[in-house]
Amino acid sequence: MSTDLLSRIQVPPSVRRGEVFPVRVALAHPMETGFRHDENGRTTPYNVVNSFVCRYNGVVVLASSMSSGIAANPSFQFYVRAREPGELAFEWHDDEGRQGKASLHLNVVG
Amino acid sequence: MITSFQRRRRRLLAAAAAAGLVPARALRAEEFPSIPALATLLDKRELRKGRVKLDIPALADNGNSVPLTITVDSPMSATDRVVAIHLFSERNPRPRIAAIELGPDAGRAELQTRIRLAGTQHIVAVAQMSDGSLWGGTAEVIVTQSACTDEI
Repeated sequence: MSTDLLSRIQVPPSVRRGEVFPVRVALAHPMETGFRHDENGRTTPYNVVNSFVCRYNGVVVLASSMSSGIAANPSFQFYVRAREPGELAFEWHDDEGRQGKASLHLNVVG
Repeated sequence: MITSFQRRRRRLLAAAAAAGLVPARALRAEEFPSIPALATLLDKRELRKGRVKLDIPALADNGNSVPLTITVDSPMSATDRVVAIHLFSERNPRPRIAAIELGPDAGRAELQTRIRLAGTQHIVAVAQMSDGSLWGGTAEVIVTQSACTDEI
């Protein structure tokens, strides 16, 4: 499930209870610095993904605020401890007011 | 063999450094580069050196996308964990690269991302622990081709 802004999010297909597993996120976004000019000399306005939040069954795991210091097509890898089966939900916003949402089910065995 | 030209160059550089014309780039082990945004975050609180490791190439051909791994030495238990990581650049037009809060389910104090760097500089990561203490790490990156080259 995803809206507006595109992403690719990867977690292991299944994890053991208590295991710490990596979450890999790649967002499609130019992260415009506001310093670029188009062929007519007009400035391309500043527009970056300024916030990214990951929630695990409603509890925030990682909440990041970012500037143009993050490279285009932002990527993150962070680690989550598997408490219980459930949902990992992701949400991010850019300066133009566009937003992206994604969620996936986490299989916890054992 | 040192030519007379090299000797003169060295003497000139030494004199310039003494006069403060050439910034001495090397930082002492216990020091952090002076970044106003970092000073604002600290707000006179103590920033200790250590526990934060920055894994970044020493030389980046292109500043547009430099891989970075931040690792903080922390058990990440319920009572002793990293609550936030702040990332600063010394020379980027926007020195605050990112501020990342970590929740109780973050199982390891490790984060990978890719950053932009406008030229050769130091970057600083500050980890805020659950007991309120602040720990920092720094790394220097030589950037061959800077990001934001369109900047006027």
